[in-house]
Amino acid sequence: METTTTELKGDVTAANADCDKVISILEMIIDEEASSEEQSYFYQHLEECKNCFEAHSHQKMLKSFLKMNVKRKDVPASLISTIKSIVHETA
Amino acid sequence: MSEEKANKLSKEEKDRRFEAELMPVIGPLYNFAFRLTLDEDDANDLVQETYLKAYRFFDYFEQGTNAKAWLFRILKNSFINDFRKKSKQPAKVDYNEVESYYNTDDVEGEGEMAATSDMRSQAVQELIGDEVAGALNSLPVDFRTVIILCDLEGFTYEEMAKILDIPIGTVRSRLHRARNFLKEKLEKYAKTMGYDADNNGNHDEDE
Repeated sequence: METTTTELKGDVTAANADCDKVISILEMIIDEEASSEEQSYFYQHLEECKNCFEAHSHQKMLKSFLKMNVKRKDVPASLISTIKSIVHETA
Repeated sequence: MSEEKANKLSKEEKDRRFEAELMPVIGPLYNFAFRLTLDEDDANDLVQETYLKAYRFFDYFEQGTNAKAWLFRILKNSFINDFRKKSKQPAKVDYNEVESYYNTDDVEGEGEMAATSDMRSQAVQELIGDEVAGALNSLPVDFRTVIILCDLEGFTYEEMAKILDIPIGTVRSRLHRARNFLKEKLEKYAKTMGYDADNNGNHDEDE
């Protein structure tokens, strides 16, 4: 479809080891679960790797897209009052 | 105040604390229940049951600790014990079934969606909201659950592990698979919204 990795094949082996590691912690980075060491390793790699940079953008986009677009339902008022009254009546 | 006294609250004091600490979570909790059961009445029942259990065990709840995670855990256990058993949902995720679902989904058939691609209207926004919710709801419940907890409710991996009674490693791998399923489904909507990160890409849709 879009950009392929073919043009980057010159430095494959060295790059791939880093890319594998970066991709393996990608979601931890997005979820703010990565250590500061992992973070600096990660972002440093992004500066020099277009593919990983894009993978990161996509993953980040998915998360914010979900948060933005899954509508939240309002709690029925009757549910709140029911819970409160049952609780008050409970000994 | 002695500890004994703190543990044996008057009914009035207990109710006051219960409402102050636990009722503010009802919004996220209700939404979680709804996304699990996909039914408003079931969500109602589930939330009600969760609060009654929480009230019964409120003496064990440590004030100031993570009320939201505690309630989510109770709700998730109630869901498994009382709701999931009734349904015919397989206990384990059938990946083939999920995959074939996505394969049979006719993406090309929705010409109307493509036509709206350059409109940034409220209507489009709402339409996309429905589609996103639909995509999320179509995931197996275990997958849906981790997406909700992590991406919508912002729980940490550790909190999720406690809520779901699974190791953190399992949280991570489940989240990963869940996101991959969702990604496929959502990519076209992301493009519709103009969120496509790769602007160099050639989109060979003729318009």
